[in-house]
Amino acid sequence: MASFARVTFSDENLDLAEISQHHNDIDASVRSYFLPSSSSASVRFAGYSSQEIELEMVALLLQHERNTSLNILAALEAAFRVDFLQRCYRKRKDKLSKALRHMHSEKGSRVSLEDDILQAWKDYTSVSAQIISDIRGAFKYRHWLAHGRYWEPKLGQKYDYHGLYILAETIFENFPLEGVSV
Amino acid sequence: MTNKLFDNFVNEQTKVAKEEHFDKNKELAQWLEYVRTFYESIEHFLDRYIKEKTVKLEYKKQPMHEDFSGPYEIDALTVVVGANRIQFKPIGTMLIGAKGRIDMTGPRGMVRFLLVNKELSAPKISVRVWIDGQEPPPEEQPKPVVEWAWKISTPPPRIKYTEFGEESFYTAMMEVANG
Repeated sequence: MASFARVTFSDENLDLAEISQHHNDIDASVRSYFLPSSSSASVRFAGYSSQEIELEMVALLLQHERNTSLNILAALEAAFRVDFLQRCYRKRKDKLSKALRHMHSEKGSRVSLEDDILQAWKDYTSVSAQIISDIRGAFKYRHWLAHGRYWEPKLGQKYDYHGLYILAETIFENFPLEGVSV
Repeated sequence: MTNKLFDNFVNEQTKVAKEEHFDKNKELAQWLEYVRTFYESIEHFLDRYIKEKTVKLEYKKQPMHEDFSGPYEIDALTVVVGANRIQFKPIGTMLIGAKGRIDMTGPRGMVRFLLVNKELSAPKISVRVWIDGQEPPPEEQPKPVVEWAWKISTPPPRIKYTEFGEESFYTAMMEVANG
C-alpha cells in the first residue's frame, strides 16, 4: 500500500461571499468605464457608435461572469477536496470517511473529484442523484471554460454565474463538509 | 449492501419514470407562454408611456438553444426611453434553482427576473444530506410548487426574491438605467 505525504492547508480557499462581492465590484467598475461620461471614454471609444460600445461592454461582462464562474467552481472543488483529506486525516469511522480513506490509500490526493469523490458521496450519503448530476454538470462546464471552449458542450442545462452561485450556496449550507467554514 | 442496491434500483426506476413523463414540446410551449405573459405585464406597466409615445417597445426574434429542446426562437425586448435602451433577454428554462430567467440590462446594471415557486422569497433547492448510518438532519417540509411566478432577484451574495409588480419593476428599470 502506497504512503502519501500529508497536504498542508493554505487557508487561502476562496469564500463564496467574497467571490460574489468581487464580481459585483468589477461589474460596476466596467459599467462605469463604458459610460460615455467616463473620463477615458473620449480616448478609449473615439470613433465608436453607442451600439459598438455596448457590444464591447456586454462581451467583457460575459467574460467576467465566466471568470467568476470558474472561481465559484474552484471554491467548490477545494471544499470537496479539503473534506476528502480531513476525513482521511481525522480517521472518522463513518462509511463515507472509510470509502474516501480507501481511495486515499490507493491514489493519495490525486483522486478524481467527479469519478471518485462525488461517487463516494453518491454511494455513502443520502444526497440525491439529481444534486450529484447538477454538480457533475457544473464541473463539465468548468472543463469547457478551462480548456478553451472550442467545442459545443452538452450539459443538459444552462450553467452560468447566477445558477452556479445558487448551487454552491446550497452545497455549502447543506453538505456536512469537514474542515470547510461557510 | 442489498438495501443500498435496492435503493439504487428504486431511484433509477423513479428517475426513468420521471424522464418518460418529460414532454419537451410541452416544456418549451410553457416557457414561451411564461415569457409572453412577462412581456404582457411590462406592456401593462408601461401602457401610459407607450400611449404618450415617451416609451417605445421593440421586439426582435432571438435564436436560442437548450439541450432539452434543440434550437428555437424567442422574443427579446428592448424598451427605449429617451437615449436609454433597456434590453430584456430570455436566458432559458432549464436552470439551477429556477424554471426560467429573463435578464434586464441597461447601461448601469443588470437585474434578473426569475420564474420560481410563487411561495419562495429566496432560492431553495431541497437538499438533506447525511452520511449512511448517521443521524439525519431535521426534515424541512418543502414548499410544493402550486404556481410559478416571476420574481425579481437580488444579485449574489445572499440572493432574495421580491415580487414582480408595477412599483418594483419601475425601480428595477431606473436602477439599470441610472444606477
